[in-house]
Amino acid sequence: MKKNNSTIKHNKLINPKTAPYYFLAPSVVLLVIFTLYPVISSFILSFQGMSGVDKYFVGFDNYIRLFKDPIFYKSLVNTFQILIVQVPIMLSLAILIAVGLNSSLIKFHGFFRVAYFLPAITALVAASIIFMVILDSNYGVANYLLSLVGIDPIDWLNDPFWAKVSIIVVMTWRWTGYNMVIFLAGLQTIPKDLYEAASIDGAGKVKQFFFITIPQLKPVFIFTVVMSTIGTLQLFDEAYILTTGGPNNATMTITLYLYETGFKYFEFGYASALAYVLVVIIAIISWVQMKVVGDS
Amino acid sequence: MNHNNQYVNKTFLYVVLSIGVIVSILPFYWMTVGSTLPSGKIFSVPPTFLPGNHLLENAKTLNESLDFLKIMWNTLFISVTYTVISVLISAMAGYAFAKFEFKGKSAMFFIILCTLMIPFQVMLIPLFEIVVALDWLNTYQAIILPTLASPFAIFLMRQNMLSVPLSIIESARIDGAGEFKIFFSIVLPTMKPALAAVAIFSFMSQWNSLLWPLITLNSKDMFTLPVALSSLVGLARIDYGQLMLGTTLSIIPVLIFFLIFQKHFISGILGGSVKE
Amino acid sequence: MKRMLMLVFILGIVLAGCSNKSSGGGADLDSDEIAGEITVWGWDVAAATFKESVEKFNEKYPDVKVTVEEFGSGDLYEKLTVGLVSRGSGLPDVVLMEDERIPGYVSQFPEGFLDLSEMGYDKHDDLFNDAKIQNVVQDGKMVAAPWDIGPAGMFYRVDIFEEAGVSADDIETWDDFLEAGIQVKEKTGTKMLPIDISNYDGVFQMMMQQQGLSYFDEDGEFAFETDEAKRSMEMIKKFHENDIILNNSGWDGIVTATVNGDVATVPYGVWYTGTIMDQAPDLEGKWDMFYLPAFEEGGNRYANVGGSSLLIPSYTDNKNAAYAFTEFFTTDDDTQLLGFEKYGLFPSLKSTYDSEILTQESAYFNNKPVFKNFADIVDDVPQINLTKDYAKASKIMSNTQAAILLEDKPVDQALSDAKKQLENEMKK
Repeated sequence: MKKNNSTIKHNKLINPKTAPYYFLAPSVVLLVIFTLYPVISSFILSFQGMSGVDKYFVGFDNYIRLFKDPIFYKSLVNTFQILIVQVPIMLSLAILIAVGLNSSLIKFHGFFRVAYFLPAITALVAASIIFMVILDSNYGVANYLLSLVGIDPIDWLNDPFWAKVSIIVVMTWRWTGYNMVIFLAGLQTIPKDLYEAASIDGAGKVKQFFFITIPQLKPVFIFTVVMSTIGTLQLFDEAYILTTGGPNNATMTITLYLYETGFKYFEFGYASALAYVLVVIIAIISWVQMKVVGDS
Repeated sequence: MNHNNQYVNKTFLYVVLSIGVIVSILPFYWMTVGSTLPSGKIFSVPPTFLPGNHLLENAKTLNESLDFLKIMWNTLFISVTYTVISVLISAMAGYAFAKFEFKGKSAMFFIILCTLMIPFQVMLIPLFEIVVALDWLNTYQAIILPTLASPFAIFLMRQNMLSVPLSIIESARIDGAGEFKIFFSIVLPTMKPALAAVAIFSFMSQWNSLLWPLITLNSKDMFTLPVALSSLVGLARIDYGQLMLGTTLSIIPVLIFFLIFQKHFISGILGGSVKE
Repeated sequence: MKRMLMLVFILGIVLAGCSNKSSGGGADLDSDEIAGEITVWGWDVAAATFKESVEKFNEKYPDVKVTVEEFGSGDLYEKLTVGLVSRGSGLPDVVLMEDERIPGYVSQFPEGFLDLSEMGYDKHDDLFNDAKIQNVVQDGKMVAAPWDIGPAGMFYRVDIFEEAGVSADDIETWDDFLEAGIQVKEKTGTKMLPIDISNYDGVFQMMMQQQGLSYFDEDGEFAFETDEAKRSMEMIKKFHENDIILNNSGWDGIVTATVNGDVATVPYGVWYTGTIMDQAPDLEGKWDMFYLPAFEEGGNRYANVGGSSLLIPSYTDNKNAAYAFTEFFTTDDDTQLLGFEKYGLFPSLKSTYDSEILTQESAYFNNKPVFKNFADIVDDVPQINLTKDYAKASKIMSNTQAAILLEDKPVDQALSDAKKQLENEMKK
């Protein structure tokens, strides 16, 4: 309040001292009702059971059941399998395309950027539906194209392995352009003279990529890794539309399981326990990623 | 030699990048073609790669299964209302954090940053209970209100508001302008790019949102596009023609908007994390 | 400050605009007048039947405006449950439900549905067979009105069987069926039957019902680890090992496989006749049916697949119109026969069984009286115990089937894991 002085004409109610509270009020009220209260309520719920509409405390029962629940483990494993395969593939593709687009050899930057970004404006539901049709096992165009090069049809959505691949394909299609644009923006901040100096020292393009581009992009890289990870951990739409978690839960994700427990079987307590485990996992992973990427 | 080499590199780059573009765009083409074909033709071997003449029939069946105009309207109304209010209140909150000193400021800001890390799923069940208790199922406000105050948008607006010089605020005060007048007529106009970015981000996230509307809407006339499309996928016999048409129609408005405002759009969807 | 007030004002308008929820036309409950608007939820062909019969319903009740909304059945249940939890929001006035789902809903929402006998539906008891009535009476309350049933049989392609040199008359047991399947596969390259391995355990359910069980025995105990369950699963596993199963995806996959002639048989409820005739008109004369094979010669060959009933959520604003609709659609011969003739929905209304439509020979089905064949077995289908945990058990069993067939999990272990998992999930 150091700048505050008596020469300013004070409105009785709204003055520089009280104004911030007015500005904050709508957001804070909404956050308290629709974020803070639910977060706390959900925590309490995770220690409760339900019969009909009545709730009662069950201690750690929900968490104990969770650690014995094979579907929970399966959804966890699935999510991590998808994460570990999908995020590196997507980010490598994104970075390579970004470097290609950033090259002075290329014209039509605007066109390429728009074309690559197009999938990112598509709703996940829409993307999943389109790929549901493309990946149909018997009559989809994907299998037709494979058959042209002599590859046997793949049972994309019904085979436990390929169903995961399908989810990965949709996610990669949907998000690569998005991340590419982030990288592209990052690339444009790298000083040109770094490359010029390296060229003079006789470093080839590949060497330049690994020793200049990658290190320079580190902050952008951390950002995309963390965002993609959090996004994957919350995977829902693609699995809900494409496979409804099947076959045999091969594409069951934590969020889809939470949805089913909560809104198909109305076990609010158990679903809340699942949600809290998800929070802990996201917190740990984000922390580890910051640590690992940040230190090296 | 060097020149030749560069030529090879250039061709190579163009070829690779073009393949990528084809992969990006082909699904859209497939979807559009699909919306003009009868359900059976979409699944024929070999596939039909050219548009058919079944567009009107698909539109008819689509409108029989769902009141598609109402659904478009629902989605539009929800997304626009959400966007306008969300941008406004997050700009206000961001302004408060960036340009004022007040009691509890750092604690509040810290809490808001923390909620940024909490996935929406955690709030899902209590929010549902709130909505049920208020008898808000199948209402617009049930979809709009819970995520209206977005910590992310507040954070973003605060970062942008930091760059507003204190001196112009001070001189406006000396001229006797009220705090809200300063905010609306002096601060906001300088924030247009940031506001546009947050607006597009909010709009897209609401337009595409599935999970929460799926839970709170069970009456067909209140459905939003993602919920409506997912209900078509759930039908016992999926009419792929109408499904493809519905999907195409859900993308077209956003697509047009995108092609016109692509620069703002890209930075908006990236949540303003990349400045153009 | 003015701006602030303005904002509050705008918010107010938005909220007010938001709350114009649709409310049904409220008829006075005490009055005898039957009028107003009602919404009916159903899926697939049942929804289509409702739509087409509304006209006839309106001849009798001209003042009732009926809106039929079609959902996928999975979607319908989720939206129904959400509505019941919220004590009525968004609910229809009449809802169609598969019989096996009724106990679960009634136990979770004891107050959720009207007792139809209070409105006089019990006078119609004699119109239906006992097994069906047993399905719609829960805890002494008649919560649903019988719509259709699904006596099961094995539909088969006469031409493919001939080409493979297999005779339907020789298939009496599941082992015979397996052998025939292998021969069909060898001679014609066509797979024997479609099973959506990870999503639908219908064949397993049929096998269990032949042996008098659901997922539970008559005392409500788990039947996962019984010899009956084991031999059923072993049999399905043998089908898979001999590569005679077409792993289709969903309902759509079964239909496509049927239309394209990718399978030689389809074990299903009688209502599938409607789909076959509707979707594959070119295959007229090439389909026929025989009763399901038994596990041993002379064993029971009858089961039921599907069948559903109409329920009235107790939150309806228009009880009388909803009841009028329910009563009309379940007790009117013509409506029931329309559903049957056009869509193969097999009536549970016994008075229809003597009608010409149901007794005649069908040109489509190899000139055999297939529908009569099904009507004949309605009373011989073993009664089984559907419990409130049916939906969960079914999901677990589909997953178990996938684990056994697709991930080579041993049958014994898979079934015992399934039981453990169901126990874990039922412990609340």
